[in-house]
Amino acid sequence: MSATSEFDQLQALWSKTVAHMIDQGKAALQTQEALSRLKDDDVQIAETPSEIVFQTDKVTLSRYTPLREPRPDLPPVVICYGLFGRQTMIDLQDDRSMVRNLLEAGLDLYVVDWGNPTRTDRYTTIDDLVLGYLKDCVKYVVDQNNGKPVTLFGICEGGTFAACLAALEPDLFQGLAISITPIDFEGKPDTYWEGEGFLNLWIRNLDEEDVNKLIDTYGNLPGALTGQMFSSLTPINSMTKYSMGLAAIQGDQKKILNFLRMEKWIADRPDHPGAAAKQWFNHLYRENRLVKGTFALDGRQVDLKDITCPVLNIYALRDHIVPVSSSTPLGDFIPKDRYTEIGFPGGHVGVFVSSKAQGVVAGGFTNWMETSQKI
Amino acid sequence: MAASDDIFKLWSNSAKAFTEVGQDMADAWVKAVQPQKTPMEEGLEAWSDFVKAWAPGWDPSTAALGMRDAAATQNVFFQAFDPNTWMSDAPDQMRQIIAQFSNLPQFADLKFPGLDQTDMMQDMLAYQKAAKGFGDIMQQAWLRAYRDFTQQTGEIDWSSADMDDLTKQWLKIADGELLRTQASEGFLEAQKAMIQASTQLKQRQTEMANTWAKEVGLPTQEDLDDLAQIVTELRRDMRILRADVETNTAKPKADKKKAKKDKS
Repeated sequence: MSATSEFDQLQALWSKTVAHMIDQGKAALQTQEALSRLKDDDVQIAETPSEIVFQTDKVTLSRYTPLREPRPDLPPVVICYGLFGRQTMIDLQDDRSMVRNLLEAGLDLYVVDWGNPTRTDRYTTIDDLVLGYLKDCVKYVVDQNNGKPVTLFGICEGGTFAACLAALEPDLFQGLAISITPIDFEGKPDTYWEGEGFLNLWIRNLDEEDVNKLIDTYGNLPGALTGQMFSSLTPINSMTKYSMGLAAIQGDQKKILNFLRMEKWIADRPDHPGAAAKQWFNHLYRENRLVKGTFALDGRQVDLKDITCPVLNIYALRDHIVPVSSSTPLGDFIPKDRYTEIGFPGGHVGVFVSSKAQGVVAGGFTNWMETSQKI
Repeated sequence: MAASDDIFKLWSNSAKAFTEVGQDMADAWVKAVQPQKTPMEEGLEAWSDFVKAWAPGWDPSTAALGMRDAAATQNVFFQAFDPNTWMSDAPDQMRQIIAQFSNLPQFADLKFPGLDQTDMMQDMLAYQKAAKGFGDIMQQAWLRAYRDFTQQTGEIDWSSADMDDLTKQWLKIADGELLRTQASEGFLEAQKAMIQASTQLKQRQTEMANTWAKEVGLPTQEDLDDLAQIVTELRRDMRILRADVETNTAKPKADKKKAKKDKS
């Protein structure tokens, strides 16, 4: 290459770089200008009206105000999220709300809120969460349903809790749905795509002593720490979302609000009770006791084969937090005629917040209820 | 020419000797009239001698080496933005000496108040080392990503290149490299070491806070944890008791119902 052409190349590169930077800068300024017109109060999530109907310690159970007359031919549904995030994710905004979709389908809907665990909750175990708080909430709804069983919909860690409760107290349930839920905590590492299964890999790399010391030192597992852990699972996305990600929105008010609502949900990450976190990491992630049949709550062995109701498992095909191979093994414990799967072509949170998921998940869930639990 | 050279040499030597004598005289005069060392200076010297007695090879200046070097260069500003500067490791010698102090045998009736601080310093240095090890792994990943990108874009025609595509290509390469690194053995080891070290440091800080709270008569975190444990266990006992009562109440009812059904 001649000196002149090298110079020309450099000049072309320089011009393009400057032009690109100017374009990016303009886009960023548009977003900045749009952001400056917003206040924190403008960013609201979980606005579907509901009322607290039952409370035990910090845990509350709310019933959503029906958008139409609840269908008498379908059992009430209790939604239970985990403690690594907040249940507000299922009702992020009007047009991305599984809650609204299910209410519009005529379901009688309840949701469990675990509250904000503090240091005083550090000794709370999964036994307490499942056989205490969650069971009490479900029993309340069963009582409201004239003693008839109900459907439990567990999400993420809440799905694991739901599966355990359904195995230990099968009489309470007419149906069990889980979503983005780990069951086999080892999964199939050989089949992981790049970026899948980091949590499984990282946690299984720690010794029991490391896990215990980490949690004992903080008392609980701090929400900020788990937030950082989740961010590091998608490094480039986490590094660029506030720069290139926001600039790409180019001041579009609707997209900015979507972005901010998601940020609001992410920022509201409760601390996880310490003793329960130790069980979660040691007994489940490290020792994989649930699928081995050695996981016990209140001294009672959890055998997933004891689940007697129809089961729906909704998982995400590009879930970087809960690998598909961690979730689908639930099917090994349930007879085929009672087990249904929906594999959503998206990521972990996308199952609930993406626009295309709205019909797939809520529609799939309602169809499953109609076909398996219609009275 | 040779004679003039000799004369020049003679004058030079004489001038040098004169200067040296003058310097010696000046030094002698300064020593004679200079003020006594301050207690601080004497203390530092004594401390330095004391440390050297424990660790003969110890050079106190090594501790400040990083700072001195940074100040000596013209690039202090840029160094402030260089992660290597933030993550620079304390000299091993310092680590050894602090470990030596921290591991001193303890006596029943003598308290060494500085020991807690020394332990914490040791944990801090261990964390610093672990964080640097982790930083090194990530830095290598970035270097590999830079190299890959440079290689992949080395032959492109910049005059027709699309900057958005190039940016996407860079992000894809960097993302892939980081993801591969995060699944590597080296990363797992470094991550584990950093978690262990940071936990140890945090635990030590909590212990110190507890010690301080005890000193001033405040309830410690441990005291509050004890209470929380008692309350949680009481709640658990009540829950299990309630479940037992429900089961025992439900069973006779079910048996009675069954017996009635069988009878009819």
